[in-house]
Amino acid sequence: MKRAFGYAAVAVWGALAQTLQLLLQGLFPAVDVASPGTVLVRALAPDFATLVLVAAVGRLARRDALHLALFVALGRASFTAAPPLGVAAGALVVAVVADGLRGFAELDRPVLRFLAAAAGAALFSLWIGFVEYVRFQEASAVGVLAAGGLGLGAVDLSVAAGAAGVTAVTTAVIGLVLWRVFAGLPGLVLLERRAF
Amino acid sequence: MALGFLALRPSGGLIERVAEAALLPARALGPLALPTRVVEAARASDDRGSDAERFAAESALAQRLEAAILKSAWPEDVVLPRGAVATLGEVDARSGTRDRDMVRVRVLDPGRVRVGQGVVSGDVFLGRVARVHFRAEPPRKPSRLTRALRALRVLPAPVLPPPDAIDVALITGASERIGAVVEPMPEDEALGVRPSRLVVGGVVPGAPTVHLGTHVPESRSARRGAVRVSEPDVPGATGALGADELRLCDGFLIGRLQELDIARRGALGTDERGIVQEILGVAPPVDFLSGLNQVLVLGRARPGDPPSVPLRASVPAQAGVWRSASVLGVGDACPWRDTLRIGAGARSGVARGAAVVDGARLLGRVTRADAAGATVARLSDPGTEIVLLASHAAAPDAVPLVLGRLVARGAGGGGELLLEWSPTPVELDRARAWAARLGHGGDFLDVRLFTGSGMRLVPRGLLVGRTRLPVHVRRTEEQGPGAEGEPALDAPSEPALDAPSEPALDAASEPTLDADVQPGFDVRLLRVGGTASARGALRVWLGPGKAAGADA
Repeated sequence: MKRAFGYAAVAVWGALAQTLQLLLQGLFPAVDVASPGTVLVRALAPDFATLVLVAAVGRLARRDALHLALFVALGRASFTAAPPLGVAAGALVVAVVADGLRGFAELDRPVLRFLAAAAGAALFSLWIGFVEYVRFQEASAVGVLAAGGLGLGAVDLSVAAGAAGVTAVTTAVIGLVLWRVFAGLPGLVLLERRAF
Repeated sequence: MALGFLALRPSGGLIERVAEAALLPARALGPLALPTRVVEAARASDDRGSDAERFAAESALAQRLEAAILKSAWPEDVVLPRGAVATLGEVDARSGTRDRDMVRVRVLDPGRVRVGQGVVSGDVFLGRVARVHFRAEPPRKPSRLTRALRALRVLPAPVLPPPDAIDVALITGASERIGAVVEPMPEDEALGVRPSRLVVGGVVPGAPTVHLGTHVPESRSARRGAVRVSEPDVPGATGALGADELRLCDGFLIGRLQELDIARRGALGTDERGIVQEILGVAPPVDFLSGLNQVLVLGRARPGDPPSVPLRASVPAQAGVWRSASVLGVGDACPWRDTLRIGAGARSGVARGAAVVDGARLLGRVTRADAAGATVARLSDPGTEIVLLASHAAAPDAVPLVLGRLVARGAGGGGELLLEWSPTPVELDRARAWAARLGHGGDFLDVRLFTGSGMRLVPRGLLVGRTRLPVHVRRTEEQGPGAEGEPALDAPSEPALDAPSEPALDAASEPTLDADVQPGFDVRLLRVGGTASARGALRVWLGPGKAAGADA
């Protein structure tokens, strides 16, 4: 039961983190494809949900990484137009990367937490972009009207990659500064395991 | 890996439905996004208010536009032959038929429609009736296993076509053929080229744009000119060629004959380098994929036919089934998306693709509906495609121009909507002819954009905004027989338009913006003003309802 509450807390933190990102993005002007700067400016909003996941993976046992990824995905899937399976797969990739980096040393180290947050945010953003692009191509092949997203050159792939890079840097910087806040989120303590 | 693979599969599958169900508990977290609603409201650039007066004015205008759409089915230049009975129909969502060469149409009077009758839209021939659903055999009773799986909602419930639905086989179909005649250009006629017969049908493989195939031409001398239906008079013929009722379509336009240079392909699609074939193709004046709206089915009156249904006024889209929805906040964290989250979801009957409106203005379409709400892609969401019609701002009752599929490029600095319009040369010629018919000769035409038929869960007549359509601006590189004798312009010149008289809405509520013409590309970027705002009370379209559905 204790662990169930812990995972529920992770899902709520994931959702709140996503909300915070949306809130920041909403402060920026709308996207104009002719001005890639508008996309890059919106990308300045850090990917807080990835930070929640990376920090949780860094703090908790390695065998919990998979569960953490799925519960963070559960939280953030409520606030995205991306397919739920895509969000879950992206969160798993982030967890695997963070866990892989953790194999070298504890993620508390500044360089590693910077790398883990940056790589996680960039990979998640690129993955969602890729999912959108593939789905758009499939829809286009059968003549279905596309409902936003990458495709038809509406948003250039290089711009999307640039946006992923910007989000990665801002996420990493926030991770560097506020790591203790994310690693100490209430509820994570319920998921800690005894070392012996 | 498996998750990643499944995420790339087309949406709406069984796995996705299971995932949606599994995510249901997380939907309870939706209210956590409420703070973003404040931001979204602040972003909304609505200075028009959302009072009842504006809504009433917009609804009245939308009804006039709808009435104009219905007119677009009737021919303007071609005269219907004596004895022809025209049945009005409206193109339903293309999703009804998976085949691109087949389109589903809902007709006003299905009792009069028979397989093999010709289908036209305006002066253009489209195809023939391939299936009349209410006459088709009912589907077989499903097996017990299928019924059990449907009861468990593992398999979707069967969707039977409505009784007024017919399937129309477009002339683009590989096996479709129609007799035709080429009308030579005046200068060719002076050189002795005479009208000659040929058969048209299917598409030319390898052509850069859709061109209809030509077969067994009577003469090789006719290389260009208008191609019109001319079915041979074969007594007793019942097939596609020479069918009696198809001859009612004689004189309707199929397209423009053109020579196409197509790289020859060898066996198994290998390139035979450098070998270019000159092939005759017919450039159709309509976009068969997304430019079809109102149609007429032409047949002869028969003794057993039911009494004719009087042409009633269409039930306006505003009278359909709508569900009000509140904005919960921003819908997606992707920096290149422009989305909204609304409170009405699948439990309220909201489905993917449904139109979301502010008053009578289209705000966007639902991209995902779940139990707790829906995500809406706004029209300014880059990559969003929409099928639109244009109506002269000063003459909303005139027959509109079908612009076809436009792609959103985002929002401009002033909050205006940026739409990319990529007409083919033939479509551009049609736009010019339409502008000329309205007595307009300038480079730009002040138009109002609105929705037509053929988009799933989007009613016709919804306003999108106003723009200046660059109908008479030609690229210097523009080629083709239609370009001769017309001035070539590099950049848009100032529009010479009189201030349009607004029927009900003041100019401030619908600012008209210019279009960018990009030299070197057959793409025109339309800057659309007076678009919907997320600040007002939003509504989601659930469907036409029984009353409207019966009225097609």
